[in-house]
Amino acid sequence: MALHVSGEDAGARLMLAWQAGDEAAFDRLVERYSGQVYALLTRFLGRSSAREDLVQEVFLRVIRARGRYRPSARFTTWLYRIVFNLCVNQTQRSPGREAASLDARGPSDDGAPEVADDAGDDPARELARADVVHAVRAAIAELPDAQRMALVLAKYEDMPYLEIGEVLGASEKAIKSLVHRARENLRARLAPFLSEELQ
Amino acid sequence: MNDPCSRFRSLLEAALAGVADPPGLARLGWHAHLLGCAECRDLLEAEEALELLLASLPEPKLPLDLSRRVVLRLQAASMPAAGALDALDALLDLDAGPRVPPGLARDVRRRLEPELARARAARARPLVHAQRWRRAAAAALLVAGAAAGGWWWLAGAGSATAPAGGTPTARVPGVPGELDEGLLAALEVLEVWAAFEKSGEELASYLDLDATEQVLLDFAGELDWDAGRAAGR
Repeated sequence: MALHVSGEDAGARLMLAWQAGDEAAFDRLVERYSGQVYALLTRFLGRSSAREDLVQEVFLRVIRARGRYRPSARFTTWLYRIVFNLCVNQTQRSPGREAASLDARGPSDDGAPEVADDAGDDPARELARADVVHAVRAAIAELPDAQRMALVLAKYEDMPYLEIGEVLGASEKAIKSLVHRARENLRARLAPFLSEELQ
Repeated sequence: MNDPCSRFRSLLEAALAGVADPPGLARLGWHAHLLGCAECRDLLEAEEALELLLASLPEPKLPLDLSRRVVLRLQAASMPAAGALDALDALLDLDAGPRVPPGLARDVRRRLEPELARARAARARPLVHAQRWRRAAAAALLVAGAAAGGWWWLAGAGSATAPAGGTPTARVPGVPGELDEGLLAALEVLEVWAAFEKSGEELASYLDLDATEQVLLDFAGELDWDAGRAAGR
């Protein structure tokens, strides 16, 4: 059933074109979605050194699913389900590795601070803000897998609960509950920061 | 206060301010003015005692959460609408997300090239599939021919040797009574046909596999064949 595949779902269009034999469509898929996959992996796994390998693994699975792909949902929903499965495998394979990557404080791999730009040019302020960002990331990393992915998709990808449900294989109601619990857990873990925030 | 006292105290102030050369109060202890001025001598001793006391104090430390307090105050000042937002969302929004490494897509695409080439090669093999179907069809014809021949022999040529006035019968171990030979032949044909259908299903499921899985299966088949050949040697 081609529920969501309309003109604006460029991913599904490219995937179908590739299925039909347009080999260049795969290049455009990688070009268009590798950054999003990388960002989602980073949000979920932290600054793990395996991120680029995992991006490759995601598209390897896309290649293997070429013949079986059916546009029954948005392309990103289908793609993020692959990402989620890989992330869960990764956390089960090497528990604690993500925490270690979060503990590695300081600038990111590419030397950029990866915090919101409104810190301005003040290095001290930027450093202090990086501390808060680190605390937020650590709190997110401690969430259970499903809560973490639901929160990341809802908060940072603006994905509707229904689509998150398709990614995680759960109902819309279950996703609402997951996101609510994730936020409650974060509130508890970030309580010192939040009390300051409210003052 | 006379002029020598004023000059000495100027030197003392410079030493305390750290601009004397050399710095510190030690050199002033030898100043000639002190020999005749008890007031300046007492003043120097008091300053030296104070310096010692200050030096013995522990290094002041910043509160552990100072940076966090500062950043939150700054954040509150820079986000006038923050009060209207959920405080948690305001914290989560501080993380602007990762920067994607430049050339990521190109690198990923390059590293996937061998897999893509394998998939392309597997997709370009419809001829092989056609050959497999032709082989299966030939085998089916052969089996059907053999079955028809058997049927003909049992029903026609076989009946010449059958006892007069009766249908040929056979006894099957484990089955009470005698079975009609014609029925047995029909069962045999059905058995052969079921085996053929099974092999047909296997072939169809093979054709449903995607390209990568076919390549893997072919590779495994070649390994088995090689192993069998080695064992036969």
